[in-house]
Amino acid sequence: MATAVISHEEEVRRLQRREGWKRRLPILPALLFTIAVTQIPFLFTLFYSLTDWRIDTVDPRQFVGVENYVSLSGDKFFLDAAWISVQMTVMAVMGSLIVGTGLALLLDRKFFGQGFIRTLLITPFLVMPVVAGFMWKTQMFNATFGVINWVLNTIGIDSIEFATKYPLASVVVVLIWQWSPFMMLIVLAGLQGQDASVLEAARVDGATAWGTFRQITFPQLRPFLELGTLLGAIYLIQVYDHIEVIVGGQPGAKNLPFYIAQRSIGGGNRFGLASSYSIIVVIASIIIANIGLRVLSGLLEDNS
Amino acid sequence: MSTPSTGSRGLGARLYRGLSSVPMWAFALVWLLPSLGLFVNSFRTRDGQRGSGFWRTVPDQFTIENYQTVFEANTVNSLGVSLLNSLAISIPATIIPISIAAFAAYGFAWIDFKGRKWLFIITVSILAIPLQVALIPLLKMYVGGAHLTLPFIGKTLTFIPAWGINGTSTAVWLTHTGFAMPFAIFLLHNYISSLPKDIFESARIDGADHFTIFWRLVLPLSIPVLAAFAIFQFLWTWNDFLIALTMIGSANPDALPTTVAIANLAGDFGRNEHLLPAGAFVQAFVPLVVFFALQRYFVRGLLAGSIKG
Repeated sequence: MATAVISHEEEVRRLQRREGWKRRLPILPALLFTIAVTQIPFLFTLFYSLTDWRIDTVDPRQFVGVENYVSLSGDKFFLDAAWISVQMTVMAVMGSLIVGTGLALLLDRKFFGQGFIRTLLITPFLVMPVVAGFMWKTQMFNATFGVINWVLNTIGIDSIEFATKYPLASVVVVLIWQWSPFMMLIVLAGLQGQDASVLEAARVDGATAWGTFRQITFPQLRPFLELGTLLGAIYLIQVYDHIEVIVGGQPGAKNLPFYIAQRSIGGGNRFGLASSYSIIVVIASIIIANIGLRVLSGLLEDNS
Repeated sequence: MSTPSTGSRGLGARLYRGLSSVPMWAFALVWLLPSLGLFVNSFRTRDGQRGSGFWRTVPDQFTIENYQTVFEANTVNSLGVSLLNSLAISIPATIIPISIAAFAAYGFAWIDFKGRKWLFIITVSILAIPLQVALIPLLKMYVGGAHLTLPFIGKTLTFIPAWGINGTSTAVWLTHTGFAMPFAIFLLHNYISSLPKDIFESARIDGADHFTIFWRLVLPLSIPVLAAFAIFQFLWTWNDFLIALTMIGSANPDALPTTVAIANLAGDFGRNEHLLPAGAFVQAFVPLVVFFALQRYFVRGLLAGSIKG
């Protein structure tokens, strides 16, 4: 009896093993392609980061070990760019979350032309970054033709060339303008999923609008805000086009992607060095993302 | 809000509602001021645009010549051709990653295999690579293939043959496909892993294999998230400037997408800068149509699977 049970278990295990391979087989093509397109460039980057490769000289690239990484800790421009990256991403994500939530709260009431206004408000999200940057640079920030300076002039303040004087803030404003509609859509979905009877009960009990928002609406919105933060940050950390158009090569708003591009394809031609920057960025992002995801999933579990 | 509030019927309430929409309209106007300025300027003559801000437009500056010039076939930066080039990039760059990522996401979510969790984490972490640094190595790979010369033995292994696809739209959408995979897998995995377990179990009891389950169950159920990703990806690839510039650049001016063509209008010492507003509106038309056609899926697809409860 006992031996029969064991052989039966072995049989099951054998079948499961075979099943296991049959199970793996269908995802292999997709997996192989994914690994090829995502990991091969990474391995190339890793390899280049250990060399002194430049594309503007005919010298063969030399293996220099960790020299690039050592020089990096003393590279003031790299550290500046890293700091700008952090500021730019945090300010753009927070700013667009706040503005987006505000827009969603305003839109979550019936008023004349609601659908039309909603549509109009979304449009900045669909505009090409190069054009968005150009729009703001020429129509808003510009010292002679910009609306903001026209308003300043009429109240008696001298024109300010915003893009030159406040490069980081100028870029962030445009990013917020483009990403608030996205946050608005997500928050709006959160608001519309609210239980109307709970809000009604709060109103009957004499809660103020602010109290209702803080005590009832905001806790319910939290997972939506976190999702918006995550998705927004994934895109906003990679910002390049806006900086190129609004600020160009001037200092003050160069984030890491921009600096890395400048040092490699943008004329610096130092691919080995730029590759080592990227590796650092990837490692830092993995650490931050891991902590972030853990915090995020913890919060989500609390809420459910 | 689905339930109409009780006090919305009286004349006073209606008046209040009418008035309360005024700030919203005013705000929307301010919000759209940059777009409005560009729109007004797209119908102004070159001298008009250069002479004053858009709010000082006078009727005799009105012209539709900018739009005509932008579409003229014989100008270098004709948008007619580049619109087609953009489609030749964006359509494959949207459809191909979705097809591959959907299957990979299904695998990561519902097929048990060793190292699944780690492979998933590594794949998603690649999101963090600044694509700018991978561009030139990729371009080199497209031109000359990927080879590795083994030390000591002196033998050269060829991983990828020399395709010579630089300067074509293939190079651009292939690159987009690669960079899109991590995010696509991340987003689709969130959704597909949240599908109810029962349907997979009963399908397996009925003898369905993974291909059948994927085609018959997972794909139809995942339409919202597929549409959500499609919107993201289409916007991203349609509006991309840097990858197209690097992969096509000056190698093949006939294959340039709209974004580069428009940026070229602004360059060239500003000689054609007055055409940029018109070009921008032509370029923005396609994503507007795509977004509003698919928007009912957009939020639903992003939220489902990402937010519990």
